[in-house]
Amino acid sequence: MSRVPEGPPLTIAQAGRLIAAGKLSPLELTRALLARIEALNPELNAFVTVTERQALAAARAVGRSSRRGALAGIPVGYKDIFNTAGIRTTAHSKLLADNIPDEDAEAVRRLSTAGAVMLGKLATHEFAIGGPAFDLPWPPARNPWDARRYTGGSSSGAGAAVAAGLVLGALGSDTGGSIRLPAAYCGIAGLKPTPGLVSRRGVIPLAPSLDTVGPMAWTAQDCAILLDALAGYDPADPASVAGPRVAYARSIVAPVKGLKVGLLRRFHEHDVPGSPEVLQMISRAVAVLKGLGCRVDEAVLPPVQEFNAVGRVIISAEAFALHEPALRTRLADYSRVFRVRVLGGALIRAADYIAAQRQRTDLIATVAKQFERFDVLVTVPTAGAAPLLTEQRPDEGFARPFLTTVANVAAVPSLVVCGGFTAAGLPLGIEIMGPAWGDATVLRVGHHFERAAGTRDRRPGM
Amino acid sequence: MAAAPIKSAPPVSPAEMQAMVARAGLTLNPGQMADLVLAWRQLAGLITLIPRDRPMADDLAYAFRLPVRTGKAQPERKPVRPRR
Repeated sequence: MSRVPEGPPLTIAQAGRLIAAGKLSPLELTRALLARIEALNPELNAFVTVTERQALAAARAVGRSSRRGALAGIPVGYKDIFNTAGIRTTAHSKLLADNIPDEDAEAVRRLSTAGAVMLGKLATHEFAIGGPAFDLPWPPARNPWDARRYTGGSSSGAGAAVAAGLVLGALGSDTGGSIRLPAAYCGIAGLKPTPGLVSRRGVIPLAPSLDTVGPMAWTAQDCAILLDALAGYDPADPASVAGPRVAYARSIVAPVKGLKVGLLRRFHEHDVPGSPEVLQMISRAVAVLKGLGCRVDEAVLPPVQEFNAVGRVIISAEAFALHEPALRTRLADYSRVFRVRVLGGALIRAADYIAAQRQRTDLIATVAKQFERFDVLVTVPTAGAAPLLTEQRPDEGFARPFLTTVANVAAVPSLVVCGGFTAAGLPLGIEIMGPAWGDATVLRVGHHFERAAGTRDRRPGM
Repeated sequence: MAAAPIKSAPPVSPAEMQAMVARAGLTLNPGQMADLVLAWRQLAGLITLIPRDRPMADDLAYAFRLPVRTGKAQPERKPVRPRR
């Protein structure tokens, strides 16, 4: 078998083809990425734990095996809230610094069964909430496009590792935007699937009403390949649903001509106003979609602030409930940003929490109604490019609403792909939402958009 | 529909905040208390944005069902037997 090709990092689709054709050895690919991690991780802090020994053993086993899964030899990483048997799972917190689970999370098990090779555990915001913190045992991840900048979070290490080509794919979690914000700031693709499509068993929860887990990769096509292995009913996750069986990677190649796209213009022009470069980018993105034959009309939903209020109240209340015993006894071991985001949950009245859940049912119905008119809804996930790490406020999300929380509250799938770049060369994302169980449609639109817009040819200059 | 501005939440006095924190079983130093006051002011503002005018007999707050688009019925789940 030949060595890893020179040039930009491979996508999952490219590596899979080369491995299947016997032109690339899983062991060589794993060795190449471990060397890249050794060179770049000290600057990026994308990994909390690198599992070199296990990765080399797994890659050798895949190379020897005659029965190969769909992800045979594909190097991946897991946000460090996914349980991994015998391997430290810290949630990036002092509280779990020595936590070694007995079993893999179901999503990890599914990728391993498909032949994926774990390279390690990836940085996160502490317990998947908050922001970059400097008072934890591990430093925050840094953005490969500019290491002074924020990756977005909370799947921060996953965003950095995929963008820098340290892994070909990663698993993140998304409760209010934690897959899609790092996808936007790091210029990659990230899918928050329909709730119930991917099992959350063995993933440390944040707010179970809103928690989802999903794939992050360089392209929408790679997310579809990962989703093929991840999706499926799991009786051990109470929210798991036996939804329709879909061949995601195969379905995304169908043309998008004639699809009806609803542009949520008011979201990014009024509710959370985008920077001039974001507004130019979304205008170009709409032109690309029209060029692909999509019909684009304006769509209107309730203000982002209404979704955000419901989402923040649910997240704060549920996160506090989960952490209450430890907050009472080990408060000082949490980061300041975690405390700011979660302690307020102690003061939320049950009536307020119930009101938020009741309002959520209305918002779910309102969004579902829009999908009687449109196949997908499009907006931006962030109002600008990645800010400097030092610009992040601990009360972010309370002070400024997250555009991404709309899809969590509405319980719909949402994909972020790279929509373009600022003049300074920082990536900007577009967000594509679909109806519940419309994951294949959002991946299809994202896939064709990426190809037509040409945003996948540019890599961070590392 | 215009975005509703965040209404100011009813002010909470320091004594009231201390009582709420004590009731939650937390022991906070002055810096942690200041952080909580900052967060709570904003969270309380968000709470005021949530409508309360739904009919009393409306659906249960914690139940929602996603429409499955294939039209196929979901397989019935077996009841979980309590462990002995």
